[in-house]
Amino acid sequence: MHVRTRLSRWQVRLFLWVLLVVPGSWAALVPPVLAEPPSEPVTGYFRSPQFIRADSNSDGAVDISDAVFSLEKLFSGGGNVACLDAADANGDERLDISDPIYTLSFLFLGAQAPPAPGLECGVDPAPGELGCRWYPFCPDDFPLIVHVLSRITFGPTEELYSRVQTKADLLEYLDEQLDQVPEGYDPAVHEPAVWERIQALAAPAPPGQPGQARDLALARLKSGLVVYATSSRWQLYHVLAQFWNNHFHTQINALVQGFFNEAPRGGPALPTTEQIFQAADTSPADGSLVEAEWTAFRSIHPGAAPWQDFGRETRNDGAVSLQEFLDHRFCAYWKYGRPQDAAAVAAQMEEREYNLYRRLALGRFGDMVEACAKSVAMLIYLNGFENTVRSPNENFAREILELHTLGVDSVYTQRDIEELAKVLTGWTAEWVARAGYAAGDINFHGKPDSQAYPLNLREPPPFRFPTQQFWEDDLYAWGFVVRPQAHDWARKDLFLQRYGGTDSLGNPVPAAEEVSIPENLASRTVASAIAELDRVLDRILSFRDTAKFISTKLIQLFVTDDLSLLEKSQPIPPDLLAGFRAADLDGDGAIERSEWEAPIPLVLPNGRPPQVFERLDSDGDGKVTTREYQEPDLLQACIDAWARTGGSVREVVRTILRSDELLSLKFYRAKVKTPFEVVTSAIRALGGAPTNQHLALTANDLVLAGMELFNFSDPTGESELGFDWMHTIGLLERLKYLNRAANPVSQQESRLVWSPGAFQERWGLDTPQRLIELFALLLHGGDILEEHGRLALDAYQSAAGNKALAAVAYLLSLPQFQKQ
Amino acid sequence: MKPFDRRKFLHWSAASLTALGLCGMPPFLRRALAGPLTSGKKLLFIFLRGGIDAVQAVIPYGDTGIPGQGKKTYLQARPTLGVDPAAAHDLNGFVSLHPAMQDAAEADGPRLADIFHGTLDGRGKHLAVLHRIGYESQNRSHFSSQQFWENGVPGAATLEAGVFNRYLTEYLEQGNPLPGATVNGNQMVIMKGPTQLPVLRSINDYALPANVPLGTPPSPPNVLGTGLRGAYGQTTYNPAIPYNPLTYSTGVALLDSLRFFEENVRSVPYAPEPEAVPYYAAIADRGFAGFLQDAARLLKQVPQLQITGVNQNGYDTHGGEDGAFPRLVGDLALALTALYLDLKPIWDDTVVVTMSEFGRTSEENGNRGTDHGESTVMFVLGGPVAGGVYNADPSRWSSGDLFSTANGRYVAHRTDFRSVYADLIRKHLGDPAGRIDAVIPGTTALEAQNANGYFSSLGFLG
Repeated sequence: MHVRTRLSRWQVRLFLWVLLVVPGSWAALVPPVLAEPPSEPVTGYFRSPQFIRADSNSDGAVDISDAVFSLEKLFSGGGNVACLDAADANGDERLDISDPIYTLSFLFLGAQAPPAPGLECGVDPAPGELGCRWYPFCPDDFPLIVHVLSRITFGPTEELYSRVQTKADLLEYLDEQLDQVPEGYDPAVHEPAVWERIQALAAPAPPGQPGQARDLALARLKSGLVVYATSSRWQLYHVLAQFWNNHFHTQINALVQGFFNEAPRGGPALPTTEQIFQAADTSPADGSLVEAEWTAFRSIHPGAAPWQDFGRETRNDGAVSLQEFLDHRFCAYWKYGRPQDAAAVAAQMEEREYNLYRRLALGRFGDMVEACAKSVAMLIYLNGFENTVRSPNENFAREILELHTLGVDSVYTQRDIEELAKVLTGWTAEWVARAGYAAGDINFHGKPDSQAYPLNLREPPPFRFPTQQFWEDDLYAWGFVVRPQAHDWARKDLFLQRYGGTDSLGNPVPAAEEVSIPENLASRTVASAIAELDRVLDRILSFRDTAKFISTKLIQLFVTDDLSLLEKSQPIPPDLLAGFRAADLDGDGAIERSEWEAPIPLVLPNGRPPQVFERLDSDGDGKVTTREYQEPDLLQACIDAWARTGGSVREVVRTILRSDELLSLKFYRAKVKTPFEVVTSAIRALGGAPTNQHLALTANDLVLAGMELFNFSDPTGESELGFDWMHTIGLLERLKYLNRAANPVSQQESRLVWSPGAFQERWGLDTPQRLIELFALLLHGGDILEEHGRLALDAYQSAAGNKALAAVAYLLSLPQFQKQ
Repeated sequence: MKPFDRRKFLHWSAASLTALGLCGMPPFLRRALAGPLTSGKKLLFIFLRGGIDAVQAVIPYGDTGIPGQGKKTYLQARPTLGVDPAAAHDLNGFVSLHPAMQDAAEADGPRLADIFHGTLDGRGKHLAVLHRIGYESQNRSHFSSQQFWENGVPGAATLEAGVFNRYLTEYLEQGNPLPGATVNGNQMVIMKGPTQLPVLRSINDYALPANVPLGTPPSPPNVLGTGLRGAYGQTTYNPAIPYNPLTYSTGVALLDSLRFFEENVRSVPYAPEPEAVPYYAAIADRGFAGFLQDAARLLKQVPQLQITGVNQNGYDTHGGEDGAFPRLVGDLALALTALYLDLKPIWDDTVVVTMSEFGRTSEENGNRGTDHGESTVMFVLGGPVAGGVYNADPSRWSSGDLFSTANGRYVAHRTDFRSVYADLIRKHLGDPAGRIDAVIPGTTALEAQNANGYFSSLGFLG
């Protein structure tokens, strides 16, 4: 608190009287003009300085000297008012006698306190003429704001920087982003402008029409991500949606190539093709298809290929025989027959999956794992659809444990993978009738006992070709189905101690954690098959390692790639201490290697895993102390929040966002942006508007920079760790994008529509220095090397074309822009 | 002290490095002692991502199984995927090459088997097939096992420094503008590490737009430097901030190599050997073909370049392997043949090697596919290579070995991949200063111990 009221009322009167009659006494009260602070807080343009109202003499306190200072300023012109807003004690945007009177009345007569920001540091809520050149006694919150906004959004904007002026604003913004996302977020309802932009994205060409539709379907999907990331108000929500979609990653091209283009799987089946031939070969039905017949057929079924596509088949006799029709690679251009149709199917599947993870992004983690297990795209991508009692497939079971929940080699063993694969037998994706699914069931999970529509009868006569550009008609969709006859009803045992699994701290799995599912001799229903997974998932989600693995990834997303840099200042929690003591056989407070590797009869005959010891022994001195054994404070806090809330993502994220580790400059610029973040932060900072064409080119730029998004090949999803992104080719492609965005060589090269003119007008950028100052502020939070500022000026002056664009492109190309 | 990786990030502890013999002198001092390497020996590697089905590529028909113990033969274990022996190409009376590797040839042009048998030209037998390569306690996660094959330290999942980077760092010649490069469009761990080695997608694309000032480094009299090279060459940044040194040094490596490519590579007229052109053109995976051609070009055109490499993706054949596998190994055979023809001018100094993180289950899985397994196969091709089949004849492969791992599902390994690497380094690239333990941690100790003969040199380099 900055108010001093030491003087009694009579003393004040005496004091004021002295001042009035003894002119020379003023000087003694006016503080010396304060030296400029060593590093001047960043103000100007969209940054407002913080100040304390009524602190006219800028000494950090509101007291009688302020009133005196103001009076002197008014009547004798002495003193130096650094912050006029502060001197405007009554906040009326005028400096006059009413200000010192206001101050004195407040101090000594108990009158109203000065208006906002009042006696605490803050910004002028309604900045007017006066302004504030500098005010040294309030903290400069801008670096913190730059830091946090660059982590929880897809890049700060001028608008956001204008709104979030102080740490208090920042905390308010965090809470808003965490707690105020509309329930059941639907962009069409909650952000119509964003939705309109999404709707305007280029759609794939309708079936039967030539074009690069295959790439277009994917480009459209990726463009949508850029649109949400750059224009949604709910930035944190979309950051998390993308995080989860990547965590439970499925690859679009794997769906296309491994499924929809494979006849016996999801692709067209021959009987159907034959039926098409027969349906078209009607006048006469002679086993020979001629152009007139095909044209008539296409007039009813526009999804079919144009006649000229049967080039080779018609070369000899002008007609197509049944065999030629069947041999033709994309025969009838039946649904999914062409690669681009299959891609459109897969793209829509990916989009629905993404929307589902987005919907669950701040909810319970367990709901997401369940959604993942039932997701059609996942069932196809990791071979779940063909995991049956006769031919079990371990692929998905392995990744649930390794990538989605526990983390590699934690708790589970190869035996658990095999047992979990059995639990998941019979889970598959089928072509189902849409009728009966709830409106909100966007990924068709809710009726696992739906009758599967046989692939080769997808379109019973009369044929119902798709009338729109997408694969789905209003009757059928791909949905999650369980086939009881393909499920393995035998006994399954998971997490048995004798399997030899250990958690990430080397502890054997407790006997109490074993899950046994007895052989099912009674009700072999869809519900009982699903109940088996529920039981296993409940256990998986209760393991501390699931909380640890997911929290670690979230900390890496928001705070630091390297958790070893986090503080460990709390005492080791009891559950960890118990594990530690169990391994510390001689009780000397340190686990030696020999203790670690001592056999535990019947459980770990070879002792605890040596690689865990290596990991824990971070100083490499051959023993593990409790300090090495325990988790960093932030990770432990996340694990605690997880346990307290049953795996609530919102509460784990809140723990991270509210932590000192994030809300300090300890990890300022300590992360490398992904290529996607480079793109979105550039678009947002420049206020750029990419066209559809720009977005498609940008999607390709991202691939070149190493980021495939929906088409990444591995189920790990794409890395969040900086060293996976920072290499020469990645940097080259980032720099190409940034220069094309800010200062393209030609129209064709451009990546967005933007103009520095609006900035120049808004902020009066009449010199190159001011231009560079503004964009350094916007792009780098004003924090660039002095040398970089001079080089940027040089880039301005030596540019052959538009100098302003060249300078901005140069600032975007600085190393700092690769960091967040 | 972490000599081969300066980043603090890695959790592979300093003490274990000491134990592995990696501590001691700082690299620059060791380099100074070792002296630059001027052997002119070159290596091109192809990483087969996803885990190649080794017994489908090089088929052990000679394994007659053990009916009494339920150990099937290849054909019994592969009712739908199995290849008819008549269609495959016999290599040594015990194993045969998958037909797609043999058929993948231009009409009457050379085939991989011609190269194997040395019947093509006067160059002799220079294709070695190394079967049963792996490591103890094989990890069946792609991500972990690739990491180990690349960083050379099984078990060190977070160690991001690769074997080839460490080799080039140990023998870095001052001022060598391009000791190594990855032509792949994305970073590979095996080439990652203390020495910044360029990663490029194609030689032609390795450039910035025309209006971007490449610039010059800061040096007197122009202390700031100019353009982007000036920006990334500044040294007043805070090196304590994570990734600052990496970001700046990557920029310097990029901008210097961009200039090198502009002035020393693109500007020099080049064409592949004409006989190789149709083979490159026939490779179905066009990205792979492009990477390969440019990698060969760099090897031929840049005398200082020692190691380069590419990926071939897609070997994770859990289902539909009958469709995918012939395409993959067909492309691989075309690639090896193309390199045989294209690298002719530097043949005596060059070795091409393939690696993959693991093999697959010996029994097919019911989805016309195979799951993650254990030992894998490597192809090694080049002038210094003693051609032939290794680890796959009756002396090294008993009947029933198709199911020779403890769980009876995979082919157990006979040779550790690090032993193959050690041969490549010592017998081919050269290790005059005896730095093998710094490149592949623990090699000499492992060789001395030579558990189960895993570290007996196969002798494919003589």
